[in-house]
Amino acid sequence: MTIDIIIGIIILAVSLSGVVIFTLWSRHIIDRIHFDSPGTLKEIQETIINERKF
Amino acid sequence: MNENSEKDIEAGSHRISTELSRNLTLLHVTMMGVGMMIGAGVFLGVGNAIKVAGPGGVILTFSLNALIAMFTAMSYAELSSAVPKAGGAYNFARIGFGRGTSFLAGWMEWFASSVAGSLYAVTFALYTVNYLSQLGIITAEGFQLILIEKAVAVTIACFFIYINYRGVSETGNLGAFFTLGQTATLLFIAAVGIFTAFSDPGRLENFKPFMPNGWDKLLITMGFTYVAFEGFEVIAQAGDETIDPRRNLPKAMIYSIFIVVFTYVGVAFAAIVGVKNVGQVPWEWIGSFGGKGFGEAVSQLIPSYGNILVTITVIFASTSALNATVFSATRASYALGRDNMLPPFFAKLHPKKRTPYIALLFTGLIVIATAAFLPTIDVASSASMMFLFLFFLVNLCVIRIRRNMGDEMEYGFVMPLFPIPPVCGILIQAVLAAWLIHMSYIAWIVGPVWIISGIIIYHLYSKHKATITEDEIVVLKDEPIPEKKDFRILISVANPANAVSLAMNCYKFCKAKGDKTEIEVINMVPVPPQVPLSEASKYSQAGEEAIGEAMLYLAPRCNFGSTMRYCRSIARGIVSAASERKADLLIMGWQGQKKKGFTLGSKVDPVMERAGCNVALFKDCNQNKYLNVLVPYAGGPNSNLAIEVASIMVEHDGGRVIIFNMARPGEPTQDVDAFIDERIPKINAPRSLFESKYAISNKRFDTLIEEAENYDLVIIGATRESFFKQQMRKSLPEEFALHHKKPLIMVKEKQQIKSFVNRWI
Repeated sequence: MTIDIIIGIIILAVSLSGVVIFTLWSRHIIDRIHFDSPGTLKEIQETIINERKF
Repeated sequence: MNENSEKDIEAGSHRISTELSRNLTLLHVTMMGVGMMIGAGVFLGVGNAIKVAGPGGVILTFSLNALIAMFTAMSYAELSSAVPKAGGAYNFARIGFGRGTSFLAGWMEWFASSVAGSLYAVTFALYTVNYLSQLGIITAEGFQLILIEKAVAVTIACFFIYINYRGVSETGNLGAFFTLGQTATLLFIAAVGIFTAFSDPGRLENFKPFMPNGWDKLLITMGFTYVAFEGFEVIAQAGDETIDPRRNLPKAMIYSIFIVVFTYVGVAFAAIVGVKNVGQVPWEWIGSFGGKGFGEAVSQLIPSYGNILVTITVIFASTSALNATVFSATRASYALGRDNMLPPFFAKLHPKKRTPYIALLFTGLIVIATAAFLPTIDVASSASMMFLFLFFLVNLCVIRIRRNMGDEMEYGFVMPLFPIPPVCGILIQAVLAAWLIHMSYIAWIVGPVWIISGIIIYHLYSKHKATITEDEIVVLKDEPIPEKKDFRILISVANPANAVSLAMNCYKFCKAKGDKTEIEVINMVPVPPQVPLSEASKYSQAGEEAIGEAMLYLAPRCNFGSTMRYCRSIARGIVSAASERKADLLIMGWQGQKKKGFTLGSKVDPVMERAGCNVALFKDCNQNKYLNVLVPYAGGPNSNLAIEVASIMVEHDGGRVIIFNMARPGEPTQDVDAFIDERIPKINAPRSLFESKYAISNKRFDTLIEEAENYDLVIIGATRESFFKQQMRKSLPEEFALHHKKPLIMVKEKQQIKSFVNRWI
C-alpha cells in the first residue's frame, strides 16, 4: 500500500465522517428546535445555554 | 410552484387571502434535490475526473466536494428555515445585502440554472447517441458524431423549453418516483461493484497508481464536478409548497447531500473496479472516453445489461433535471422582471398558458446556445463556476443575516459551529473557482463576463427602475442638514414624552463640540410584517410628534436635519441610518426595562452591538443641570468616552465628576489620577472638575449601587462581552444599569476595525 493510498483512505474517511456527523447533528438541532417551537436566534441560544443538550 | 405564493384579493369590502396548498412532504423535497444533483454530474464527472485525477482522485473528488457542499447546504438550510419562501438565493441576498446584491444573485442564478440545463441536455445526448452507435443505428464518427450529439442536445433542450411553455411541470409523487428509481439503480451499480471487488480482490489493483497525475489535480476535478451538488437551490425554491417548511426544507437539504455522496462514491468505486482486461491501464481506459467513461465502465462491470441500464438512468435523470432547471432559470429571470430589475416584459405571462414565455424564451436561448457552441467540459465548468459564485454569496448572506437580523427572524434550524462552516465554504469555493482555470479557461471568461454585464445592467437600468421591496427601509420624510460639518450627532427619537430631554442633552454635546457640529433627528416608523410598506403612513403619527417636540427645542438654538423612515426593525433601521449618515455619535433613549432574552432590550442590544459609531444611551436624563456625576472606572475600552461625556454633561460652574474605581481585597486598584491626567488634554476640560475615589469590596455590584445613590448622574461604559458570555455571566455595567433608579448614561465607543467588519458583514 503506497503512501498516496493511505492518505487517500484517511481523507475519504474524514470527509465521509464529516458528512455523517453534520447530517446527524443538524437533524438533532432541527428536531430539538421543533420540540419547543421555532424561535429567534436569541431564544434558541438561550435554550442551548439553559439546557446544554446540543 | 407559482411565483406569487400569497396574495390578497379585494372582494367587495372583504380581503380574501389566497395561498398555495402545501402538499410536498419531506420525501418529495429531498428527492427534488437528489434528482437535480444526480442529473448529470456523476455521469459526466466520473469519466472526466478519472482522466484528470486518476482512480483515487475521482473518489476523493466526490467525498471532499460533499463535505464542502455540506457547509453551503447548512447555510441554505438555515436561511430557508428562516425565510421559507420561494426565491432561494435571490431572497436571501435581498434580505441580507439589499437590492444590488439580490439582483446579482438572481442574475447568477438565472445563468447557473440555464447552463446546468445545457449540461443535462448534453449528457442526455452523449449517452443516447453512444448507445445508438453501439446498436449500429448511428454510424457517424469524429466531427459528424459531435454534430449529431449537439443536434440531439439542442432538440431535447427545445422539447423541454416547449414543455415549460405549455406549463407542465413534473413535481410531487411522479418526480419523487423517478428520482427514487435513478438513485436505486445507481446504488445497485455501486453494490455490484462492491460485490465484484470482494469476489475478485485483484481488481483493487485498478486503484494503482492512486493519484497518477499528482494531488494538485484534485482541486481541478473538485471545481469541475461541483455542479453535481447544486440541488439545494431547487429545494429552497419549494418553500411555498412544502409541508412544515421550517423543519422539512433544512432536513431535505442535509439529507440530499448525505444520499448523493454515498451514491457518487459507490458508483465511482464500481466504475474503477468494473474494468478488467482492456489492454490498457484501467483508469486511462475509462478516462479515454471522457464524459462517456462511466457508461463504458459499467458496461464492463455488468456486461449483459450495464449499458442499457446506464442509458435508461441517464435518460430519466437528465431529462427530469433539465425540466427542473429550465423551470428554475425561467423563474429567476421572471422574478427579476417582476421586480423591474430587468425590463418588465420578462414578467409578461402568456394570455392562455399563463407561463412567463418571454423569460422562458431568453432562458431557452442561453440553454441552446451553451449546449450548441460550447464543448462539454466548458459547459460543465461554466455551470460549476456560476454555482460556486452563487454559493459563495449565500454563505456571506447567512453570516450577515444572522448578525444583523438574528433576533428578528424565526429560525427552524441554526447551523452548528457557526461561523466556521460558511467561512470554510467561502474560502474553499473561492479556491475551487480559481483552480477551474486549469480545466476550462472559457469558463473563466464566460462567468466573469456574465457577472460584469450584470453589474453594468444593474447600474444602468435596474438601480433606477427597480420597485421597492418589502424588506427595504424607506425614507419617508427627509430634510437634510444644509451643510456637512466635522462632527455629526444622530439623535433617535421615538417617544414624544422624552424627545425634548434627548434634544436638550444632545444640544449640550453640540455646544461642547463647537461650530463644527451638526445634529440630525431621526425617527424610525416600525411597520408590522403583515402590513405592506405602501400602507404604512398610518404608523407615523407618534414619530411625527416626537420629531416635532425635538424640533421645537432645537430650532432656535442650532441647525439640524430630520428624517423619518419606515422599517421592519427599529434597531436595524437605526444602525443603517447611523452608517449611511456617517454619524460620529448616536444618542438614543432607554426606558430602563429589560425584555426577556435581551440584555438591555430588543431595540437597544443590536444598536449597542452593531452601530459603527460612538453610542450614548440616556435613561431618565430629564434634568437641566448635573452637579455630581459618577463615572465607574475599571480601565475598560469605553472609559475614554465615559469621561468625555461626563465633562460635557456636568455643570462646569460648581460641578464635579468622580472617577470611581473598585477592587476586590488583595487586588491592585487602577491608577485613576494617571488616567484623568492623560485624558484631560484630549477632552478640553479643567482638571479641577475631576476627582478620584477608590473602594475595596468583595461585593462590587452592591457597593456601586450604594455609591451611585449619592450622585445626580452616573455615566458608565457598556461591556464588550458577547451576548453568549453575558447570558453565562451577567456583566456588571448592564446589571447596574437595570437596577440603578436615577439618571444614567451608558456609553459605548466605536470599535475601529471591528466596527467596519460588523457593518459590512
